Amino acid sequence: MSEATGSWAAARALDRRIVVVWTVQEAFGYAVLALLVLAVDVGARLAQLDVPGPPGLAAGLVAAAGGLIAWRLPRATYRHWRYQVADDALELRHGVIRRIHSAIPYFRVQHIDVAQGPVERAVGLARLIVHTASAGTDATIPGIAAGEAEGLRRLILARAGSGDAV
Amino acid sequence: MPSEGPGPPAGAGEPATAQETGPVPLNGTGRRRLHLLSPVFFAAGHARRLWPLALLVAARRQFWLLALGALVLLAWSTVEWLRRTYSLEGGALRLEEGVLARKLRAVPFDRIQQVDLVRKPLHRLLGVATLRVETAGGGSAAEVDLDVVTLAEAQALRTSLLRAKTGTGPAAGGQAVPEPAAATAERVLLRLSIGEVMLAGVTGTRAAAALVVLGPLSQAADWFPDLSDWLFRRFSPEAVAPSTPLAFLAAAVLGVAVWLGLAAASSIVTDYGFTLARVRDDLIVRRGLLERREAVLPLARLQVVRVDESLLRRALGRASIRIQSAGRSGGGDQTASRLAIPILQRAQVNRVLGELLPGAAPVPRLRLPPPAARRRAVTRSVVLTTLLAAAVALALWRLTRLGVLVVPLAVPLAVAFGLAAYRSLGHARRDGFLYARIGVPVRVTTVVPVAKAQSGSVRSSPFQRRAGLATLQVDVAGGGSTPRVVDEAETTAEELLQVVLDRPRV
Repeated sequence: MSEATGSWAAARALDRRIVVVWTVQEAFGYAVLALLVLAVDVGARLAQLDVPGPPGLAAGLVAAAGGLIAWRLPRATYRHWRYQVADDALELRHGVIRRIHSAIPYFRVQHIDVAQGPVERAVGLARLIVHTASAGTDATIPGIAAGEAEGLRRLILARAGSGDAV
Repeated sequence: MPSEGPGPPAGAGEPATAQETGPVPLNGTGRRRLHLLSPVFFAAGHARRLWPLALLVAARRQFWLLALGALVLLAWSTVEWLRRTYSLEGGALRLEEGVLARKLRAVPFDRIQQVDLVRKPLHRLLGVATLRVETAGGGSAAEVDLDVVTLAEAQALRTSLLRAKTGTGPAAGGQAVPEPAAATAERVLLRLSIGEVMLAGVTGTRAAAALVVLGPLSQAADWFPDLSDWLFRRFSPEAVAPSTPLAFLAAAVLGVAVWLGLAAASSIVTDYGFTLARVRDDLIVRRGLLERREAVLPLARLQVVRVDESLLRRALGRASIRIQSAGRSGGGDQTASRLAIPILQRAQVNRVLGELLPGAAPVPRLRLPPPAARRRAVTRSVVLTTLLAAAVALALWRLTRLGVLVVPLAVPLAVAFGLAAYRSLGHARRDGFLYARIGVPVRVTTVVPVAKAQSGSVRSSPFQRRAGLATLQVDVAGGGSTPRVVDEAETTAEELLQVVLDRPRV
């Protein structure tokens, strides 16, 4: 990654455990898809429709491709994720295929949510969702250790100060 | 019809602003009730929701039941009216309502985004109005309707609310300070003649919408089976069906005339007498033939201004302007349509822009993105067109092999379109404003005050990265589309992001 701004040396990576969370989520999604394909496949055969290939081939292909993606994508995403709590703004850099560098000045922050899904809870992670007055703001930091999330929220809110930012 | 009759455009027949009536004191008004006629409007509102039931009862000819229902409704509405009060107290507009369950809603003055005055034909006949107070945030709870109050009261309230929110109002509980007349006088920025309004309808999206309405109308013969029989009896088919080329032409011209006429008529209904005016730091937009709407937007709440120029309108020397406020993001479209300027001469754009965003006009010369963006625009257009043409040719394969010819014919067109798309791109920054332009056939120039940017991001797809390009996205409050500087050099985009963040340039 080539950084235009010099201060990116201080950027932080996500908690490594997020890879487990993403892998489980991706794998689950593709497993459901493979099962759906299998159900359609079997249904079509029972209805005496002409389906090419042996039974379960399509579902197997989906499962294989899904497995590969579920293994590779989370790791690549993790490698490309950086965030930094700069002096005046929160900056994020992420994205494997589509790269995104977004910046949210603290004084625009309206409120911050800390959220935890079931898988995240199991490994002890949380994600921070920063809201501004714009719906377009892209500011979700996944993979913060649950113990640190509250501190990070306090830090950002303290810098946000108070006042009407609309 | 309204009592004043059509009258001259721009609502000259109505009192212009609240300057005739004194403002309502901001504190200690006590609880006030709505207008005596309000129960009628409440009842009408309930009746609209119950119309299927009413139709059912009417169909069974139980008119006494209908009359009883109307009486009950009116009685209920009267109780509602008695229980609904509003007051200006403690720095907020407080609305108390509810017959069985009491509800209290308080809107702090500084949270008010916009105050609208809506006058339906019946309102105008009775000299009353609905005052609609909009706040930031989502959902229907973001609106408080005072339905209905007298026109004078609505205007006085609006003046007070807007003054309170800007903090220049009279001290709490104090008497209104008379202001110099010059400060409160209304300055008209733009007024559209009926011809311009019709032109807006004919050249705008309404023309397409009218076509959608006309389509089903041609099916009317199916809904009324007797209609065609009756027509055939009156006119012999040979005499009516166009047989000569001239008759065909006449029929086509008639069809187009009806189509454009509908578009123009719909435009007149919503935008008749369009007036854009300024009173102090508020923008006032007035429009409407039957239902007069008057929207007031404090200029400080204005987030983005967009200048739209379609090919057709550019040829006619016209443009239109959209104004985005920090209103609700959910019903943003409605708010936006209340504030949009349907049409204006291109020569006027800079003048109006300067009033909307002081310092933003004139639009500076925009910088084209690097040549890599031109290659990308052309490649993209050619690839997409070729795929589309190939799909068409494939679909026609059974009928004719000549469909393949579409592909070489389409390519030059695609190249021309790609070049035009590149030329429409551009950006500039000056004095705290960011200008971005994009689009064929509708060219949209977006003007964003940098101070209104909530956050920003630089995004790049693999194709863009290979060409060293990126897109800057500026997130603003309100419900409109996100302003973007598309396909700029990656370093320029990163620089612009620093501008959006209001960081000193490196």
